[in-house]
Amino acid sequence: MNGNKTEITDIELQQFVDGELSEARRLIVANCLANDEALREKIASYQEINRKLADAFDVRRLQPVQNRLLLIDPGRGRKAIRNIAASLLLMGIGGILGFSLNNQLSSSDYERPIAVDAAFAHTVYVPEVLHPVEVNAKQRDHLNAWLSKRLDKPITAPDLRNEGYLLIGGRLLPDEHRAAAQFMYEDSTGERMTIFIRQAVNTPETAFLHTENNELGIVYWVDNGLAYALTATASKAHLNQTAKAVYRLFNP
Amino acid sequence: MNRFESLLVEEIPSLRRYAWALSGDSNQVDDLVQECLTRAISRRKLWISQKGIRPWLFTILHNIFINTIRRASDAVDNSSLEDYENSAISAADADSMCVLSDFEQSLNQLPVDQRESLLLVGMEQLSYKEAAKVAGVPVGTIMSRLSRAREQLSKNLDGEPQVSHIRRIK
Repeated sequence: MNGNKTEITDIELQQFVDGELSEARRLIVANCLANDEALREKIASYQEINRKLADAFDVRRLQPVQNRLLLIDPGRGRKAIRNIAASLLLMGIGGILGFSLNNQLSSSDYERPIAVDAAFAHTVYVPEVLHPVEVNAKQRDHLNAWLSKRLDKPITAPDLRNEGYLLIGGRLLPDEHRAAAQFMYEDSTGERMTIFIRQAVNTPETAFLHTENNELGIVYWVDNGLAYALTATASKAHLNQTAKAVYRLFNP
Repeated sequence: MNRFESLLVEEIPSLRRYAWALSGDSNQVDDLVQECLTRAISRRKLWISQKGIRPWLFTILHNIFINTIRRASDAVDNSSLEDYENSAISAADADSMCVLSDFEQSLNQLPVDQRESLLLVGMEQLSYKEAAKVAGVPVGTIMSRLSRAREQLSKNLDGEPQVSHIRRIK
């Protein structure tokens, strides 16, 4: 019974619990523990605290990453921030932060941010009652000419009446280095859908890629020097079908 | 994503957990973590890659959190005490929202420096040395804070009547 309490300081008990003791000292403490129930209880209670900490703050109990996490200061809008914002968006799909990245989406450095930017622009302008667009559908020719000039690529607002969407109009958006365009549509129930378009010169074409951000679905692709993202509160199948129609209109 | 960005993204769950436990407020988590990521990205050149990214990120988060506490206590001088009480988490709020366990309440009642040491070592499994770096104090200080924090918590867990019962009457 040479291992009484006085030989072991409280600090050493902490070090024992946290694995910070030298092996020699650890053995001495372990020996004392064998003979001292009070010490054993103390250690057990410290270990219990560690367990409770892990249980109490299980990130799965937190809300999924909020949309506002994506609204990172555009003044510092460099690629790294955009990539991370995109990852957060992707992880939001699983509802749990730390969800593994979707391989298909992380395969290209370019298309991920467009899903983020398009969802953001959609969220900002779709609720607008008075000014959802800058140029409305009545001035369709002017809208097309204006956006084509600013994006330096011929762009036309696709006619999607066959898909059940009527054009409301469009607007110019600030983009990382240049301008982007947004066309807004409405279906018979008043549900709005947007098409976000930005330049993607020298970017290989992609298939239709799908992601989700809360209730929003986004289908995006790169075709002929332009990147497109179609955003709406709609099923993946419906979005894909609409995206195919848009694609056909641009590739008659 | 490059290596730095991947490492950052991998640490997000940890950062959220730590921000949550440290602030005791799940509503503050995203703000704290976002600010932390933004700062980390803008200071990435200052990160020494051999040293592991976690202690560095926790240090950034520590500084942000300490500053928000300072701002909150400055606010007491400038605005009414009532506003401050509204912004702070109290055990009474916690009861009314039914979100905090007795354990979380006890944790929130610890002084911030003790709580932080316990979270870094007990929850995030940082070494004493790493925790000392994060908090900007000597290793010995971390050890004594840990000891006091655990002592207090195990007393509370032993079922002594808690302060929260008194507050609940408010």
